Amino acid sequence: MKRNQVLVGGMPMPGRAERVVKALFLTLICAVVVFPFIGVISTSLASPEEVIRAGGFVMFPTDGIDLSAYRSILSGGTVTQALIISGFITAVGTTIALFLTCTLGWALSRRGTFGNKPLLLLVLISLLFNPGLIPTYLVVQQFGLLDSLWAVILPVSVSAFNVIVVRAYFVGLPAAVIDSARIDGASEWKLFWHIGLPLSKAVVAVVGLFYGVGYWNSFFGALLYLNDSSKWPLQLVLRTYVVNGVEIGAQELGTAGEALPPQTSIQMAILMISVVPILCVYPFIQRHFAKGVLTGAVKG
Amino acid sequence: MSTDEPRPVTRRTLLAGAGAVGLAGVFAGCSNDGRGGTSGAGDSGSRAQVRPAYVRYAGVKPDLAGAEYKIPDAFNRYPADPVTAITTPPGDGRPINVMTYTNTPIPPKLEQNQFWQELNKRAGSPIAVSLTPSVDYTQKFATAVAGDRLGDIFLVGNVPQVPQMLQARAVDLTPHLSGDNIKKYPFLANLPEAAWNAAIFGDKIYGIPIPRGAIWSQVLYSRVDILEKQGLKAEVKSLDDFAELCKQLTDKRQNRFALASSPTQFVQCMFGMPNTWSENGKSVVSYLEHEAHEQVFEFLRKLWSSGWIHPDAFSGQNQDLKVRFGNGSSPLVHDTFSAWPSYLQTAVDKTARIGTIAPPKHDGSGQARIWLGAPAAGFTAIGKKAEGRVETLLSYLNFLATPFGTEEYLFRKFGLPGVHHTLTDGKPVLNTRGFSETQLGLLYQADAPWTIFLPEKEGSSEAEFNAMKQTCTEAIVNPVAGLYSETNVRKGPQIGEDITQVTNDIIQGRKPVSAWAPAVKKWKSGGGDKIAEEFAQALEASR
Repeated sequence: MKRNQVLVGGMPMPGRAERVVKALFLTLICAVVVFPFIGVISTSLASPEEVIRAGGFVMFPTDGIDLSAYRSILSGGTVTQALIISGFITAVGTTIALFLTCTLGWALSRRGTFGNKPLLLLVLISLLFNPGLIPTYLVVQQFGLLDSLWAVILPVSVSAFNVIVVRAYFVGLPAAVIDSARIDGASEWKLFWHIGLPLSKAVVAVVGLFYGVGYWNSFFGALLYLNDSSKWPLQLVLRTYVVNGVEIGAQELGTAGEALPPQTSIQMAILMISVVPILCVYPFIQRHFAKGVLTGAVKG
Repeated sequence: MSTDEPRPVTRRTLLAGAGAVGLAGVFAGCSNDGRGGTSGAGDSGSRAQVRPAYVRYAGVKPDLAGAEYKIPDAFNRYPADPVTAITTPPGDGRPINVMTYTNTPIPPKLEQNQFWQELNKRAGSPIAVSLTPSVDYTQKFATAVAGDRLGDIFLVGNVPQVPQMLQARAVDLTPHLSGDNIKKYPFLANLPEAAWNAAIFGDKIYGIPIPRGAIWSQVLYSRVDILEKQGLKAEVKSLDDFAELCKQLTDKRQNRFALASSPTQFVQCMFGMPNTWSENGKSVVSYLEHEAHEQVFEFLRKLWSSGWIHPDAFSGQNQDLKVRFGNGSSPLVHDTFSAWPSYLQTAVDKTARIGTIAPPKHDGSGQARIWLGAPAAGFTAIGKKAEGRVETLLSYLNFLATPFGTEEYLFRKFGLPGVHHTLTDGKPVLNTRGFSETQLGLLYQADAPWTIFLPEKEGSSEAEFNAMKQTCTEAIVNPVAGLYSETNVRKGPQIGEDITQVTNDIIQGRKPVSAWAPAVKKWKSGGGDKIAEEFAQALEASR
């Protein structure tokens, strides 16, 4: 290594040409991600005429901002109400799911607990075999959950994959800490609540995010179990707007109406409404992300 | 773009459907009983007695009468004093639970929905609707069958073993609707005869059809204003003539491509291919086996490779076609007659004029025949649990089938004047509130026969009427339309998808034309032959 070379992060600083190429390459990759997103925002805000003139996708609106797509979705109050329902499902669902997953993960991570091995096997089997649409529906029906929001929350409140991730994290906790707490007289519940959980914030945050995003995006359960559309979560309500565009849609109406905003702007507005809440949560959880997912995968 | 309803059938759906039927577990023998006849006139014996009588409603006089041309009536204006067709509300005060699908955003809930409240009042019963986006309906329906939660009235989904399912879960409506019995429900009696095929299984009537027919025939739309600007006529006389028109209309510097989508069916009609199936003695033959396919492909490949078809034709959504046609970037598009209003609504240019081009015979020896659209979009049945209320429920459906020109129709489609629509000079126009509150899926419970009514633009109703008169009167009928084949339900969507894939690949030059014959062979062995056999039996039994 040359003596007067500048080191960056312990590595020799690359040459100018190399840096330019890297910068260009990274800019290009960023552009590939950012441009469509700008397009989504622009199209949702462009005027109907401009969208049709541009053939459906506007990059930089020139006619000024037009909120008609948002207005058309938010009028009638259906979407606002669905937002509240989705918020409820996500908050309550994630809390319940985290509680169940962490307690189960803890129990499975403790050696010698009752039925440890068979239980773990049961969890693993559910990774391989799916119960299928009709049996799941019948179970939900027989529990009397149909037409209640619990039908959307409870059946998916334990994900085997997340249990495995959490369990692996718990297994990786230093045995000495737990042993010393036990010597001090801590009960199993205290061990979990005061030692295990605080040490595992990273994995809880990540698994919480998995559940949160899952609940936020879920529509299929609601579709099957909720007959009353006033109980529908956001994603299912928004689906009725998108489906409208994909399939026969307006032509089947056979009725004249005040001009509605073009389908593309509505779809893009829908995208914004459904993505923004999740985007707001990400920055707070991001710092746990790599650690939470990786720990348990590789012990270090 | 829909001669078929949007019902994507995946492997999972099929299994689910099979599961549904298996779990319900009470179905009787599985013989594929024959089905209703294909034409009212051709029926004989007991079947003729089962068939509901057709009594045309004469209470409203159309501006242009379509009956003699086998096309819908057309209206320029909504009649000034709409007839009140139903005087006493059909309901019995008890809730009516309906399960159906929707293609529009869901409506606001009852408390915030004046249209819904008024509907309940007029129906005489609170209407509870369970709506599902149409693309998801098959799955929802399968679970509802399994859980025995179909409601009082339900739109029959695309699941296997429909006849057995109906026997177990639906009321046999034959005593109420067959022959003259239907006259008790005059607006159900006004539904076109051919539409009933879909709802008749064996010698039993199990439902009320949602009529379509000629309006679902596909036609080549053209932007007459653009054609005229270029001094072109909206008319073609032969295959070469059509190619020349496409060439003239394409201008890549202006980013303009003649065709918004591949005109596959249009060209197939030019070569005289039968409408999906054709009769050959006692058997039926699929149009896939027609000898002219290679010529059709050669021509379509030429259209594609010359750049006369929009490059996104195979990847975009249905809505994109309307945008391309509306902004003039593709002045020709192949779509159903029912799509006319949506093309009027998406036209940016107020001087835009819409016309149609009838297909000529490929060699220029006259006009070719187009394919007649499916007679029904589906049918609704009445749940067995509601057997005691059949007459009330039929009266409710009768109320939903009140035709154009009546007070009830105006209310169903446009809501209340001043609240949901404004009526000026016989042109009701839905406002935003009307658009959102009226979407209760009523048109997929029961509906009136289709009428041509295009108040968006003066003269449009007449233009569509004339276009349909020119093409639909002689349109080719699908002989097995409305008949049931178990294999078609189970395997049809999958093998059909494979054929579509090969078709698209060949047109885009990804596969040679010679790939067609093996693909058809595979289709036949993969279920096509069995479907043909079942349809032939059903057709035979229906006579």
